[in-house]
Amino acid sequence: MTPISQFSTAGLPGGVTPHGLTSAPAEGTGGSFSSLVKGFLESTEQRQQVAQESIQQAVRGDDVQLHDVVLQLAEADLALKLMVEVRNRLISAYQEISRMQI
Amino acid sequence: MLDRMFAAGDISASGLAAERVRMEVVANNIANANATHTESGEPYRRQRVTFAPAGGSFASLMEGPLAQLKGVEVTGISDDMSAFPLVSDPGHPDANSDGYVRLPNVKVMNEMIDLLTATRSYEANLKSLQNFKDMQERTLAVLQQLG
Amino acid sequence: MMEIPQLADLKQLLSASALQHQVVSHNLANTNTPGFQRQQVDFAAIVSGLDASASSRKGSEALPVVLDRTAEPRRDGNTVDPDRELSELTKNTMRYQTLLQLAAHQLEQLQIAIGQS
Repeated sequence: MTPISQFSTAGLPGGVTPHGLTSAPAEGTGGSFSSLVKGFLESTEQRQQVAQESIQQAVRGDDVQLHDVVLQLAEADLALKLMVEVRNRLISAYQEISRMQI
Repeated sequence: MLDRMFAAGDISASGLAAERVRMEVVANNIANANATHTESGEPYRRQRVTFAPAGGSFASLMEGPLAQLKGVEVTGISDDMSAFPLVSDPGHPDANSDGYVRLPNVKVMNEMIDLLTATRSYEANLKSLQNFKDMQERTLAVLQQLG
Repeated sequence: MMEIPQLADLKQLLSASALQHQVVSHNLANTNTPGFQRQQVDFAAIVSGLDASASSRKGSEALPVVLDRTAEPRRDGNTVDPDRELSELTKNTMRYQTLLQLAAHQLEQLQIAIGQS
């Protein structure tokens, strides 16, 4: 079971909803690869924003629970790690392919 | 800043503060239990504290979702207007013309019970505060755990 | 990449547990307040609400805190029993820490999966 299959489109809890959060493109819908990657990057970015917003709310004194902030931070970190991992694989795949052409 | 995140701590702190006041008032009652003559010429009159839920005394009486969780507050320290007991002691400097002395309306036994109640409550509020601190620290530790 | 379902439930339960701590602290602070009635979080309602979809959940914005009608009043009308509150405190603290560890574990699993795939 890969991590991606665990994700659903349920809303984010803790009262923090980023504006315009788009749902991830479904697997195998036939969308272009670049739009898949783009959607992925956008949601990673949004997750970072959610975490930031959460921290700001906490500092402002809004009613935000500590566990929500902590878990959102952890999830944002994870999203970033995943993104970095995907990027590295894309780069090495590209390098493989360029080597093959010669 | 970060105030609302630690609101539970404030609730417990209000309990600690309120019980402290009660303990002081009780200690003062006990200390003056035999004061037959104060500045006003009257015997010492027992004092008591009144507590109410913080943020409005109607919060505890409302039905339905009760979002007002702000702990407790001391709404006043007032005189206990029950009668001064009379004791026959003609030789006493504060005796009246009939040879009776008015004593403070303090029953030490009751005060001791109040003190015990206040102490127990103080300790319970302290435990609550410590638990809260633990929970918050463990929550933060998750970030380190995940690295 | 959206919300992990199990994590969403854990977050809700954690919020409920954090709220319960507040409620019990409030009860304890008011142990000696005349007429005060103890309250508690309605966990049963929250757990049954977990299966509901996100849209139907929005319906009840009110806090799931209810008056405990089974509590016996003392002479001054107060229904708080400090021993009972303290045992609820212990139970709830363990509940919170368990939920927290479950959430952390979820995230750890994901971390491992990301590292290895």
